[in-house]
Amino acid sequence: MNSAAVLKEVSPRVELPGVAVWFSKAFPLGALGKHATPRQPNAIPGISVGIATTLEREIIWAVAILQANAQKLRDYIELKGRIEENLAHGDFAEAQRILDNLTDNVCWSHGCLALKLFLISKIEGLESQKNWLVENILSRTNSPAAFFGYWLGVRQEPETDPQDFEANIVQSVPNLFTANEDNAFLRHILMARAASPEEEANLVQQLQAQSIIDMYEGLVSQLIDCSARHRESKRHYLNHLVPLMEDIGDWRQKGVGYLLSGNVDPETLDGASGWSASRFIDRLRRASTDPSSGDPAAYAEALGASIDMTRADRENRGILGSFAYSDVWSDMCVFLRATYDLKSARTSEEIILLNRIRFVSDKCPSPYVTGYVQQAQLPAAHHKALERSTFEEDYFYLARAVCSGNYHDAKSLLRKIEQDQIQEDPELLRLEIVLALENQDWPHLTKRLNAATSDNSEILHWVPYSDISTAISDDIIEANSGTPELAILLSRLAPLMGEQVRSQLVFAAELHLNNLGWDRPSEISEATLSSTPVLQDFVVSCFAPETMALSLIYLDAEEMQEERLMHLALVANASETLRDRCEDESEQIIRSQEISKAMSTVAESKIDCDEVGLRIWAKEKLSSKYERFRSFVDAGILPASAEASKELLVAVREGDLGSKTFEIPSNEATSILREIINELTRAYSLDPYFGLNSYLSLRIRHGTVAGQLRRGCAEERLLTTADSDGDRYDINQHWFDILCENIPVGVAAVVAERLGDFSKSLDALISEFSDKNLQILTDDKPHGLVATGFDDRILLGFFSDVISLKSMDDFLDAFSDLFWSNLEISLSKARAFIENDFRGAMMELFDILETGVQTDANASSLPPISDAIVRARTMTNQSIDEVSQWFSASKNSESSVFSIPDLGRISLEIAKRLNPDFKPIVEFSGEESWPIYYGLVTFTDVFGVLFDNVARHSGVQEPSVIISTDTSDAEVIKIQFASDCSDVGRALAAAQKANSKFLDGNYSSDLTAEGGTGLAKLSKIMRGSNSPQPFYVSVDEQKKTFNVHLEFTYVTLGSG
Amino acid sequence: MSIQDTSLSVLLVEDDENKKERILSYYGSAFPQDKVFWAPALVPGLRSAREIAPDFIILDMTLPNYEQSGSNGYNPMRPFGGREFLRQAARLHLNSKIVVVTQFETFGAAPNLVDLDSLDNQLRKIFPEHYLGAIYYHASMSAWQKKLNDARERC
Repeated sequence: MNSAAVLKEVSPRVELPGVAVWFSKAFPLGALGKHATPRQPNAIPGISVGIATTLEREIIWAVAILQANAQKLRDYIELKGRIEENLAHGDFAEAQRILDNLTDNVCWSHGCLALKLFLISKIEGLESQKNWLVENILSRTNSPAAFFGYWLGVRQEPETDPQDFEANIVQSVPNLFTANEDNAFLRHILMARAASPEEEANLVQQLQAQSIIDMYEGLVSQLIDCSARHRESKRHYLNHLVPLMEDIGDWRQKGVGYLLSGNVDPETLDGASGWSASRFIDRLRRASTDPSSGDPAAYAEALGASIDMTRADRENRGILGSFAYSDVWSDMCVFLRATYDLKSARTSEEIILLNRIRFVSDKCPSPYVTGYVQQAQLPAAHHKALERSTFEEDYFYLARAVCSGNYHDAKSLLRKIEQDQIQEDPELLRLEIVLALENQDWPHLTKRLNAATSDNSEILHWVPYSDISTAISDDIIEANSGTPELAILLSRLAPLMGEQVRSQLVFAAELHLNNLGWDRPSEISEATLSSTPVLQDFVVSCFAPETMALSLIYLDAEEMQEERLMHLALVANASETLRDRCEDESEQIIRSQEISKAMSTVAESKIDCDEVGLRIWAKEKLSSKYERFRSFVDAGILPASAEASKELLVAVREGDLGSKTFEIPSNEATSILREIINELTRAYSLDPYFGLNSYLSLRIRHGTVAGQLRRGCAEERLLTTADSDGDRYDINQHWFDILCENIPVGVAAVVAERLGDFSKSLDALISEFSDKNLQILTDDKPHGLVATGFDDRILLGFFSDVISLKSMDDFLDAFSDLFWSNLEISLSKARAFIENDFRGAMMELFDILETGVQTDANASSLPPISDAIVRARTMTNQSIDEVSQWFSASKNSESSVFSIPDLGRISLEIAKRLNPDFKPIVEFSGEESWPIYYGLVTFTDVFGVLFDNVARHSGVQEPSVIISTDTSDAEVIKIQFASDCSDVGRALAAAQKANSKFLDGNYSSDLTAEGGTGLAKLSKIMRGSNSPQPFYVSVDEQKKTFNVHLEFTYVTLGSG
Repeated sequence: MSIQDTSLSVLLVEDDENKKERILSYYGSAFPQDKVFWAPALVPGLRSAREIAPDFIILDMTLPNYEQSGSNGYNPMRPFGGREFLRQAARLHLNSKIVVVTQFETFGAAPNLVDLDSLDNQLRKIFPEHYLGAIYYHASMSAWQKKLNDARERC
């Protein structure tokens, strides 16, 4: 216990003031003296050490110090009033001039500092505010003034919503709301919060080490809070503080007097004492504000935000809340803060308290605010005045009913007031809902809230929607299942509250439906729906797919969505009003189904050839050889016996293939046929434009497989990237920051480094898999998984079959069938390799990582990183299954018709799946509904390359992409793909290179290679276009966009 | 007669193939007399539970809504799917005892991350009739097996 605490404890009560004054003078440099009147902002004190005695003794001690500085406080009160007046009128420059006078002649305080920061940001902008803070505090001291200065600066940023500020600071001081001796003080200074009874003495003790302004205002704010709550401790303030307030001319002692006695003088209640915030709100309620009425503009604007319906609730909170902290202890700001806090009040007790605080902060309070005074007794004269105004009378008695807990009267008055309202009143609606919730009046609550939110769901933010959601138990749902109201309300709460409310909603909706005699909404007849509008709303709102997914009626998503489509169609027919909404949603469901199917089609199209191109090439290059082959056959020189094919089939059927000898004869026909087949196989496999390998490169090796296999780890943010030479991988900062919160920094660093090593191993394994295995099997690629060569026995059968084929077209058809069926056999081995060998290698990396983390942590697991590894492992297993399924030679037949935006969305979905961090903002312009037939795979190739290009090279966090379509030309569809680029110089070079390569046709070497070859692959696709300029790239240097121009002719699209 | 000899009908609701195999294999050998059913997701699990009214349900916490290999369409992964299962089990007035077996120790995403102990406490409070507790499963450890035995004992 320090010496001041001892003196407070042992001094007789009557001598305590004298001891306090003596002590502060005797030890002017002690904690209780040296900070009383800071001359500079960097000298404003922080938290002091000390132990509180009783509340009364702490108050006596503090007031004695203040009394000794009464003249300074008198000056302060006078200047404070002038500052408030100028602030209220928005004259910030004049307010700043008076504040400078105050800090020069009285002293600095936390309140003055906050106001200074507010005014600088208003007058000169945020940058100047920050500069001032650095220059005057942060660069001069590391003391607590720096901490408070920083946070008060954050709080005073324009339009800051106090709730956001509070959430922000709680991240830095996580235990701010737990009771301890420092936290009450921090909450008081940073958020102007009153201390609880348990913390009160400690706060007053802390305030004694502050400037006299902070000490005084701290005590006054506690006086007001205690009085509004009618807490017993108020008597200490009344006995010791109020005389000082009277002495220095602080009118708030009068307001507190009214609050506690209920004897408000008639002049005050008549509204003749000056401008009143609460009466201004009344005028807004009656829509009788006149901009030229001389209202203080800035104050009026902030109050207007409390009742405004034109802006989003969040915006209004920012306007009201930020001004409410400008001059924190002014009456205006206390009133505004109470008004702001009313927007979050959850109980009638809280509403009463906040209105009482408004009462004390308003020199001329309205009858409504006055009605909240506990003992409010209206002078007879005023009673007559009230009777003249029904409006004021209703509001007054509403407040009285709330105070006395008379729900019935409050509800009737609210209903009466509501009938006269021209628009919803956020404050009264909240009051009505809070009362209904406290009184469990669910029929009224649901009906009232549904009516209020039917056209504007934003209104839900005005009411305690979280409390409402939590209060709706299954019992309440059952009790209220006779009407659809509760289910409809839940459907509006669900987007705000998520999973739990969806569960309540599906229960409520199906229960009500069952009560009406149906299991599914589609069972309702159109006639019934037509005649019952509330049923239409019920069906559309309460059976959204997100809700129906939790129903046990539907076996799977398809059945559930089909039901949704059916009942949406019914409602669309039954209701003119809801038709567009129903049709829009149906269209979205169908589109999402199509996109989902399309993604499967694209996934199944990875093993492909351009057979049209190959056929043209084959006819040009191999016709003469084929003619020679036919002449040998015609001369009776056959490549195999005509029966060989049948004999082979019999042997296969009997399982006796091994013991029989099937030899291909050696003659001229065989020799030339072998040549033709070898050339065809080589072209089918390796032709850089048309062959399998170019598609393997475009659709699998070019980033796709790496994205697919890294996806699970990327989603869990386990991966880091290599440095420029690729030798070292960065440590994982994301997980380091998370782990540091729970384990020693050293261990977190080891785990973070291990994740870097894991990333390196994973990338190396994927790269090796791509380079070695995802290749056509050749001498150069001996580990290639795609074997396109033929077994002699298969060839023998084919040789036998082709004898009867007369034309080259028939021969090429037969070869195509042979190639794909043979490929399917070889791909089954590829799938087995991927599912077993490659999966094993990948899982081993996870095993090593898991074991390593266990060793690092010296524990069997280290959540949450160990959970993330488990999830990544599961997702990687799924990714490997999907990669395996890519290796299928079954040719898909795409038949759906898509628009360009749809094709863009499908490609975007694929790109995002491959790269979870890729979040472009994509817009479409021009002709949006032009149908594209057989264009799915071509366009997903095109857009896939373009999105990949943006992800790799734009250098922008969330790049904008605009896909424009022009169909004005009868022969050509023009598409421009414009994306943000940060480095214009680099983009210009890339554009020039792509254009010249396309013009020269010099890109064949890039088609089967990987890395920086995306535009070359795109050039190859566009080579099939008959447009004079199918492909070129430009850069808009002003807009900083990289623009790829593509022109597709219909032949291009038709050929797929 | 000890509980070991009593035959129970059991439902395992689990989407992870490896974990499912491990649990089925262990459970089958430890309690061969029990009849074990399996469901791969939240909704199929609840439908099965409604149909067979099992004595004992072994439930994963993080579940897909519908079977994943099934049809296309809206099929979210539900990090707290087990909690929803318990909610609906209570609504269905099932008499089943339910144990959660999970390979995760945390659920959801920051800043709403919930750890297994907190979730376990929450579920005990909300569903005292059905909920037996949560078991942490790890493929390379066997502690879960003993805990699963204990849970079965309490059915």
